[in-house]
Amino acid sequence: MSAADALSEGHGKLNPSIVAALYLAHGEELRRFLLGLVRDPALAADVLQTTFARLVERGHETREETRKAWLFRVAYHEAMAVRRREAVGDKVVREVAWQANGDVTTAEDRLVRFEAVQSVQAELANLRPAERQIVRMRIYEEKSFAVIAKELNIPLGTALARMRTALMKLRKRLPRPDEESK
Amino acid sequence: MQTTDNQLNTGDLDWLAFCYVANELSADEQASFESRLADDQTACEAVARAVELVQAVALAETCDRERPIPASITRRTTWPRRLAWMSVGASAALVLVAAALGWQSISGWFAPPPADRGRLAEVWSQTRDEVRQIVYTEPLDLPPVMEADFSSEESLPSWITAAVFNQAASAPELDGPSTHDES
Repeated sequence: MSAADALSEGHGKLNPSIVAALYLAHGEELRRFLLGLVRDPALAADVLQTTFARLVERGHETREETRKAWLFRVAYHEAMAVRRREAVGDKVVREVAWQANGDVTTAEDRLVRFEAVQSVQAELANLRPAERQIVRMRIYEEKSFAVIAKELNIPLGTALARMRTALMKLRKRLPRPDEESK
Repeated sequence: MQTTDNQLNTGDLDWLAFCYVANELSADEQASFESRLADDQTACEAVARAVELVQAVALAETCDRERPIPASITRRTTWPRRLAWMSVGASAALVLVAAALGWQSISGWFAPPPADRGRLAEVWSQTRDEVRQIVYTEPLDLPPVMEADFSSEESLPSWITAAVFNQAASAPELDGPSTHDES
């Protein structure tokens, strides 16, 4: 698509169809990234919306091959601005409140999420019991590694190593972002 | 937790992103990582992956925790379902009662009243005895049978005679070669 085609006629803005395509391709990954920054699904959704509003306004100034990186930069700065504005700062960066049920927007997202959960569930069953115990205590029971090490009476390094090994195994079962957007 | 951001491979970056997301980094490490996110897209993508992984694991664990309760048991405890089964059972019982009552009334139409059964047997016995007496003690006074005279051909209708002779002539020979010379 040429640069002229990418612009809405007479407005100097990015063509809405391109914005929509970019949202489909990167929206979910951006939303997760923002959730990691602001730790709140509603705030993450607001920032995602603002990011794409910026894309509509300023997207025509970007090159096609750099738009994804541009989106992540804008999202990051918007998220940091929200954190400062909301005065949540360090307060929001506490334990991750993984409200995984309320932040999925579309049926396709739900399907992707469902498949990911199923894959992870299958891999969880294949983990060594010691690894699975760490994963459960850290993510499901939301205990810190220090607490886990103390409760299991193991060194902190051992708890971290088990978690890291388990995460590497689990991550292999997740679809890659480029696969999701297809 | 001391980490060096330099020369991190993908596994290290993913681990660092997970520690950031899980709030396991110190304040300095967190600030350092966040400043890196400003212009490092791979780090941003690692954060997105970490969030996805943690959410998927949390949901998977939630499903595992809920699995020990069989769905059939939880369904059984729902009141609408219980009421539905109760109504079905009550309906079936009503149908059975109605069928039983209806069968009794129908069979009552055809069966004689119990009080008349003895009388009916008595009448049947008397009638049977009277019939026996009539048959064995009083021979029938019937007029003598009129013997038909089939000796003459005139007593048979002519068309019967013609039909019999035609049939005999056209019937195949069963007992041996035909004696007729048709030539």
